[in-house]
Amino acid sequence: MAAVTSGGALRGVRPVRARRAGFTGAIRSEFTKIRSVRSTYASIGVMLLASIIWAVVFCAGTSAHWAQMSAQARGAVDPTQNSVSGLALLGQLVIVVLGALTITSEYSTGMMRTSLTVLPRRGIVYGSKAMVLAAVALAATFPASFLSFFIGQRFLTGIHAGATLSQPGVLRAVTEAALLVTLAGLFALGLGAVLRNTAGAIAAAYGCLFLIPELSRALPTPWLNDAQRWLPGGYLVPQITYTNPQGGIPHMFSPWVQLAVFAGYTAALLVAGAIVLRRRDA
Amino acid sequence: MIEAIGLTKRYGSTVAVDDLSFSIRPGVVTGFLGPNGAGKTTTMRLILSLDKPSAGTVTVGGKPYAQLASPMREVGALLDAKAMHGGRSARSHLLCLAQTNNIPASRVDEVLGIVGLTDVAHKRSKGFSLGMSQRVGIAGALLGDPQILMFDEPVNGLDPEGIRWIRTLMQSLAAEGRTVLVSSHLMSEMENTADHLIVIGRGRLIADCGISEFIAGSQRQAVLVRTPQPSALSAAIASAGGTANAPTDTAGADGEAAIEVRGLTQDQVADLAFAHGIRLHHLSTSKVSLEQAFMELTADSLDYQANQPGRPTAFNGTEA
Repeated sequence: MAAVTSGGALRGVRPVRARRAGFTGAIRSEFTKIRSVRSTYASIGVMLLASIIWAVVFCAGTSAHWAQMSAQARGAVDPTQNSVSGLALLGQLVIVVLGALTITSEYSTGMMRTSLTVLPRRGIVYGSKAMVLAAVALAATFPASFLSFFIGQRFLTGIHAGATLSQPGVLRAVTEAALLVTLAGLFALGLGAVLRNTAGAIAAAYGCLFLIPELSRALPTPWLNDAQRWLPGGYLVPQITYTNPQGGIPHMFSPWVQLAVFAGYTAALLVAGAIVLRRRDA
Repeated sequence: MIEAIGLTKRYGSTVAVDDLSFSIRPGVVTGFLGPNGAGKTTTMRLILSLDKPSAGTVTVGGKPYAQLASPMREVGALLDAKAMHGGRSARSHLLCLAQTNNIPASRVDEVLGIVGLTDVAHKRSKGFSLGMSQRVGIAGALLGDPQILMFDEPVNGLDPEGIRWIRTLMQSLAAEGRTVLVSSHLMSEMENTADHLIVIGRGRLIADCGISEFIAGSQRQAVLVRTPQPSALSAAIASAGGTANAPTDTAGADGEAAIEVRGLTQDQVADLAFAHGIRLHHLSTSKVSLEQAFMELTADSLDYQANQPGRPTAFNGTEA
């Protein structure tokens, strides 16, 4: 390997005017981090694929059975929901991993100490992480949602059951599916910042989003209704993706409010993560 | 300049760093010594604001580390060479560090050249040897061209060539007037690299002095004598207030034995022998290695007070 080049060669940066290290640099840095590891591309690819496959299977399935379906069953078909609930459900499973890894991989590799050494303003490091994750997630979930919707509808045109974006609730459903998945990524980031452990953060996120809502079914009805309204996960996906007037779940909030409840949990976890990061030794 | 005043870190009931005060000056390589678990890494983490001190303060160039405007331009630190994402290339790793402090990408390529990693810049660091990882870490520390550099056990696990490389690098950085702090538990390495030593044991300061002073201060300092009249010499030494013991009790055919004398200088032993008419076949002062001096000082850290590494018997060892 090369010998040390002594003297002046070690110098080089000082003449460049030093701005105070802040958000701009931190965001660029976090973007470099997220785009320079394979897991980002792998998770986004899997999410896109799973979302489209779901749309194809459900819409093609509806199309194939259309002839045998009763008028009532036909009326219950929600083509929008069929095409985007795959992203909303499976996308959450995938993005939770990406969101958790964004911060827990820094703890498992020891990179966090380096990150906080080069930029000791922890709030900025954490804030940039959240913003870059949100931006990457939005850039992945919106195309995934719209692609799944359009691809799904193509399989329904033959039976004239396809939806268009201009129909009531459709654009809302497609948008909310993408937003839900983005929020789930941030939800996992917050858990990762609190728990500092990849497996722990992913398990906790799955528990909150899938297991607890499932267990809550054992509750007596009035309590279950409250639980479904106020807990993350559960019937959130059908409630935000339905477009048929009779598809809504009466004891739940309206689609936007229901998503806002989940956004509230996400915000609370992000704040908890920020507090832990700032208070606890790195 | 790094300055610690009464720096203390407790984890529950254990005290990792105990009331440490020191200042690290520019222009020399300061060795930070202590056995494993002495609190070296914790101290470095405290300097870098990674951990909050339980008491006391530490400043870098007069400011707490967390308040530096552009930390990488003031302090370059290598704490753990393997502390990077294995799936990321060396260049991407360095780039994401550089960007936080608005350091241009051209500087990343420059430091890759300095540490000799240009050829593997785009390879994922997962496959790097420890030596290569150390070089990436050092490249990261050099990115901001800082005046203060801190390396935690930089030669751990390196081959002799890598060790020599790091040693030369640290010395040339100090020669440029920078502050260089290097921790190690390998005394032999410090002997060749450091000009100044800060020694800690069980979190407390044991010594803060120049390296030759440190060696000279060891009570191991002894005068070695070989004589055909061991009992006569031992008696003379005892009466003069010194202590004599035979390290190897193997008397030669002519009754010659080797004796280790403490509490007397080489000259005093020579005069004593002359006065008693005792023949000497060999007379020398044993050269104490830093390793020995260190073992002795840290063996029972609590018996030693800060800044008093020595015993009054101190003198520099030279072969007679």
